[in-house]
Amino acid sequence: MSVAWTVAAVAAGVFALRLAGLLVPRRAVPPAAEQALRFLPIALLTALVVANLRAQPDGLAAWPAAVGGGLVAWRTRRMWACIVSGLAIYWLLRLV
Amino acid sequence: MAERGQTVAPPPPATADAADAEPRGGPLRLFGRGFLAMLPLWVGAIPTGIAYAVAARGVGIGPGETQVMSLVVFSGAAQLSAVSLLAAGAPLPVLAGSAMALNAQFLLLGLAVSQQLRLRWVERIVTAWFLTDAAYGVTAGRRPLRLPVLLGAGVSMYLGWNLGTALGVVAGQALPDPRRLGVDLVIPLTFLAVLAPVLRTRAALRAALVAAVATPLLSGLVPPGVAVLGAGALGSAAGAWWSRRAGERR
Repeated sequence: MSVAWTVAAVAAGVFALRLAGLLVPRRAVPPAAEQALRFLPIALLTALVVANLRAQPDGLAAWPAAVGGGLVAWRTRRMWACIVSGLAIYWLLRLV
Repeated sequence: MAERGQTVAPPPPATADAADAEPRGGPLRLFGRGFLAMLPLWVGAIPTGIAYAVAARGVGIGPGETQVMSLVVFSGAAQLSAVSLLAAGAPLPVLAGSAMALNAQFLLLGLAVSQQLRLRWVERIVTAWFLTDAAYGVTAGRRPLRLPVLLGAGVSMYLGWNLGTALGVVAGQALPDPRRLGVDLVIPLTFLAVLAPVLRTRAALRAALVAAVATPLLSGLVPPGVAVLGAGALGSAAGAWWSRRAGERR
């Protein structure tokens, strides 16, 4: 099977997924689901963070780093502070 | 229709939204803001792009095809799975199906965007092309969500990803692996930076908690993308259920 076909099939499949959610009209969502959609960003981001941390090669350092970075973000609301402190904790733990 | 002007088309409202004065300015400026907000994530995107290119070249995919895949698929998970399955000689439906399962969360990302923005057809297609976890992640905290910010973030990630791929194609074997330094951690840390400040109500905390518990449980049963999709749906349902219950009690 040619690589070109693989690329085309994977591209089409992934693009279809991206487009599908965007095609849902704004008012097509029933009121009961609308309330759930308010929490969608929070739930989705949490799931993405957890899935990503689970995939980290060095979980023993990654999880505390994420907790530390998350606390810094919660206190400061600054993205840079969260990234820098999280990475600092990660590097420190890996040195130990 | 007034809504449309407010959320999508320029110019933005003259008065600042009291709740969030951040997303102001012309579309180009908003685009630039999204673009810049994504730059920290290049630290993770470029090494992953390099790793993908090295893997693709390693199984015998040509340099042009390796780059084209990054240009048209634009998903690390999908591309890496496609490369490894291609090497294993998997049939086409399995290849495409795995790529989709790994990215099932795109369904919810698109839904979250379509419920916040009124988009024209062309805008939907362009948004879909550049939509990633990271682009949504860095812009989700800004309310109201603005299309130019989302697209700026998306295009920024697209450039970083393709730059990484190109580097990997050209000089992959000669480069050290920067992922040993933990640059992959930048992505979840960025999401946490958006997430942590909005976890201020009990309902929000419960939504996050349910999603956090559901993700590893589901990951044991289904591919990562489907697990994120399921956990996202369960978490938001839990948040809605809790806020309705709390509302009734008052």
